[in-house]
Amino acid sequence: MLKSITFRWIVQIILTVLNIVGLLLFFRGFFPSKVVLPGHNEFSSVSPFLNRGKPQFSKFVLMVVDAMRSDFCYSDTHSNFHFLHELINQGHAIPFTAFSNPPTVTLPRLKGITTGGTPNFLDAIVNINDDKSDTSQGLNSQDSWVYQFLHAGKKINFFGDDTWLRLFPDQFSEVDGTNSFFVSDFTEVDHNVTRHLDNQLSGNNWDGLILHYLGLDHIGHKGGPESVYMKSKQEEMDQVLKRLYTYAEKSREDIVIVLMGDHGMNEIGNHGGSSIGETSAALTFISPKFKQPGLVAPVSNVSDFAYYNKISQIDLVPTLSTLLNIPIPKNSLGIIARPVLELWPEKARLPILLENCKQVMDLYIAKYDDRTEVVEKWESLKAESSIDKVYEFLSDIQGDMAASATNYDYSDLFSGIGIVFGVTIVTIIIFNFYFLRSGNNDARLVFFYQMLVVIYAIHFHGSSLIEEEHQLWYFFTSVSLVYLGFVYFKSSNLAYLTLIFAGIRIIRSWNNSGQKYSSKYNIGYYLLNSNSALLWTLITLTYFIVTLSTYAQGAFVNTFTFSNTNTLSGAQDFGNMLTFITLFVVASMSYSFKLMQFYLDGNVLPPVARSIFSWAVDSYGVKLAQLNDHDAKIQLAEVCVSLSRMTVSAISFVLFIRIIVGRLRGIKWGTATDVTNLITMYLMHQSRVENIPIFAVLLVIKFAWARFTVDLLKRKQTLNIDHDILTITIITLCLQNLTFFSMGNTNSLATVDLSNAYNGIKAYDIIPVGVLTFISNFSGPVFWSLSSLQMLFEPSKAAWDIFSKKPITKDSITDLIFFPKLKKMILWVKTLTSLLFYSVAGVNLLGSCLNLRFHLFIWSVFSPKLLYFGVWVVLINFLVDLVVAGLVLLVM
Amino acid sequence: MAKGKSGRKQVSFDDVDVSDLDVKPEVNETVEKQQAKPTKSVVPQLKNSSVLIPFHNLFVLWQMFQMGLTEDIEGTMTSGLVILLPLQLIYNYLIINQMILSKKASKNLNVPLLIISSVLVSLVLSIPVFVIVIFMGAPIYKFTIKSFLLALHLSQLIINPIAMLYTLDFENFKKLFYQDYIYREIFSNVVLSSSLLTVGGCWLGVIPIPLDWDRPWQQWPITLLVGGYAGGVFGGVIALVVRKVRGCSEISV
Repeated sequence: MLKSITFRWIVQIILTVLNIVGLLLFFRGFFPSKVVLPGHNEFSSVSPFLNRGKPQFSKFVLMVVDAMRSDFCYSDTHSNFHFLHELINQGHAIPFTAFSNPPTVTLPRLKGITTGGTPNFLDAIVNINDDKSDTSQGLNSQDSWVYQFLHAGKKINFFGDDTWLRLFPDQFSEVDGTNSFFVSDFTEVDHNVTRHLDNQLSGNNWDGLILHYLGLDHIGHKGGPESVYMKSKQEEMDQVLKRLYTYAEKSREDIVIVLMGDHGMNEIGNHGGSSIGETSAALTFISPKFKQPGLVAPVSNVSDFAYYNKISQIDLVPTLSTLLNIPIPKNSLGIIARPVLELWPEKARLPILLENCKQVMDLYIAKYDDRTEVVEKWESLKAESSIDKVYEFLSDIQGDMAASATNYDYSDLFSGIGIVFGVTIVTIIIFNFYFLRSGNNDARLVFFYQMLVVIYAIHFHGSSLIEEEHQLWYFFTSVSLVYLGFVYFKSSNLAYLTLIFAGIRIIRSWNNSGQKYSSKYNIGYYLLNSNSALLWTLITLTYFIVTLSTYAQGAFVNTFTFSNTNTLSGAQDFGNMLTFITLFVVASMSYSFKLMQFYLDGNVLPPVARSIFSWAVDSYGVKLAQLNDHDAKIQLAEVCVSLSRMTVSAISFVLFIRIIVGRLRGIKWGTATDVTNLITMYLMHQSRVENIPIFAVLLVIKFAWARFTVDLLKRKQTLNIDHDILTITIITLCLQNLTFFSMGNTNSLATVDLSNAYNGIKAYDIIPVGVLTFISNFSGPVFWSLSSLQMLFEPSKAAWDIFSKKPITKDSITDLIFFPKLKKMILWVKTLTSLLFYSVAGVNLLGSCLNLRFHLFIWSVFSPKLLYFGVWVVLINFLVDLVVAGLVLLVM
Repeated sequence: MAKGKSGRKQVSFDDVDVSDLDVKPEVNETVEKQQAKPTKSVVPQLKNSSVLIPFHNLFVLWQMFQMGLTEDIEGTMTSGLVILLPLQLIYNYLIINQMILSKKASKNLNVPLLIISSVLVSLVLSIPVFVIVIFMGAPIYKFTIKSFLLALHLSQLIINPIAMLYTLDFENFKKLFYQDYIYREIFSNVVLSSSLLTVGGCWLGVIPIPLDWDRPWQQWPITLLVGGYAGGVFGGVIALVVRKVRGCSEISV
């Protein structure tokens, strides 16, 4: 009973599912929804914010420049805001460096800027949720200064990034949202905002004006903070500020201008993480009414981006509220900026601050029910205090509350980790029992694997090791290869081993990964930015190789041939010819899609690709020459959508027909290869252009590895399948992770690549966008996952042994496909082996997150890793390695 | 490892009933690969092993840190190499002095030529070492010179003593890999053991680099250099201990 394969599978599936359940339970306790007070704040009596019975300002202009780091505004080397510097020198502008709470992406930051709360970690993921029609993120029910201002009977007009419209649907009087569909567009997005200014600054139909400029962020993403476009963009923003200021000067009403960045950017122009550059945004309050002497601008460049006073970005919320005389939003943790407070006469300042304090304390008490010590202190402050004391008290509370923005649900945490721990113990026992019981297996290999797993699991306890995980995987891969090379060394396979090493070394330097080192000296950057001719030559080559392998490697010829020829030269056979043509048409569709995508991203096509491009464009009836830039892009984008859809349906159609006809004709040998190759073509379709040539390298690695394996299997007397599975699983795990990081992924949310998440999709829809995001980011792991089946069942196919016939004697068998009854058992051993990895790693990661839950990096390093690991376990280990692999075996 | 009961191609899952398979043994030819059973060790034997622990490694390392390895990596590594080379010549002389050679062999040996050519051969072989180091993940482009200097140091520490031990007869060295108890052989020989642990130490030396302590000594390739140099000494000590434990009983010629 214990040995029956059915029973083993039942246990295996239970363990896999339990592992996932434990992980998800932990997630539920770790990422709970934030405590948000309902309702809106009101003044308890008369507003303390009035100055001589009048609000300080009756109108405001909020000018958000996306990703404007502090040094772009203030530094003497990086800033081109000359007018702003003039204002600072005159004292009409109060500059700050504002700490923007990670995750530093637009949606959570805007929530912080308007409500004053610290972000819920899950907001970062929802940021992917990029569509106007989705209003689930709306803040209409939450208190914010937007609500308060509108509630006072005022009107706000909005122009710029349409994220605001998702947060505040139907709140603004006049709107024009721009979306960042074309990241390559530096001018059009901003022109779209600025063109409304003429109208807005001449009429009198608003009390609040919000402008959100995206161009600077696009420049950062494209060329980094040192981009040549950066200075001229700053100049352009400075001119907008000048117009606004001139307007404010002339106006009879008091207008306050707030110029700010929603977050900063890191040294290569990305954001989303928590590095010092990303969290240091600029924030300046500007009005002719301010008279702050003593500040000089620009100031000399400092490395930690700390210019002038440092405040928290959410401090904007109470500051703006007091300036505009509206109640401070209920969930705000902000503190009124001290230099701004000095606008009021001396004796009015303390009541204002106490109002701020009261609002924060209401939130505090609601959250913690009762913490007498703090409450008592607050009571004593109310009675008698000085401004200094209240500031001190407030900043303590702010730190305290921001640190515990989420309350962990400990019962979920402990039961989740308990379940995973149980699964781990059981898996370790089954694994060792299975592999070591008979003594036929090489115990060294079994221990070697478990040692790798344990070392990997330990790395979760160090934050910098998580950030630099790609180094670990290169280390593991080279150690495993050297180990296997040593154990199975024969001079005949030295060449293949060298080839594998060369391959992994090349893909290692393809992209930046990790947080510590980022340089422009890598292959991907070079191809994309300096040598697009070589890039497209390599892409063409890669498409050619993959298409050719699809046609020749597996059993396509055998499946579709009409006559009984088994040779490739049977191209005169109609069936063969048709297959050949179909595959090349599919590949060329995907190829022209990539070309158009490349063009739409604002890259210049190399001469070699231009003719193909114009042919493809012509055949879709787009007359590029006759259209202006904008219209051409819109039309091309539509062509792109349909091309991508056609590619996907063509690939699935071919796959479907191949499987059906293959089954009808009883062709088994080659099915796994064909499925792998066709899906590889789709994975390339979903990869960034500069990553497509990686697949050619991956194919070379796979070829060398297959040769190595076949060589080994042929030589050995006994085909020990356990060994075979174990080595293949080890190498697969190493290559999966290595490729994942080599494609530019990291364990930070900043590198989630969305550039292929909308292939073939016109409007946002969570399911297809989610699926495409997964595929485009995990194309490497999926490739190796499928290839491992190929390596197990038909390595001779992967080794391009195309002339190999079905072996007559059992002596020469290297392909396990000829033992069909073993399929279930083989997959069982493979899933058992990989479950060992994922469960041991999982229990360590969960333990480390639990242990370090108050650590400084918990939200910036450990939580993103937790999410990535969730994807690995649920989508790679369960969905691809188990479900998809099971389906492939089923049709084989 | 070939535990197969017969010579046929056998598919073995450890505990699956073979009747479950649709494979029937068809051919039954027994091809037992004859294991070459060496009667005596293929490793050249050494007399007084404690002399051969490469303590000069520590001196060179100390000198390099004195000269400011963390400030000027390339310059210091070059001068370190200049210090290392004469010391390696002396070390080579010690090796040849401690080797137990047959009379005939020692007659044919041109000791000075051997010592110098061994160092020179290692200098040339630093190119393949460089390639291997790069395959193992060493950075190039901006770090090419540093990586190559590392390869120069490593080839002196690893290849030079081995070349000396085998009197430049690398064919003989290859035989080591066909030994049954390769690790026992390696760890009871000071030179081999220290070479192996130089590799190991260098390999493990890479670990601190990605950590976020941001210290000057975390620069490429300082930790690898330290790991390699220290590993060599450590390997020598280990071999000495192994020899003491085994009482030199099996090292009789």
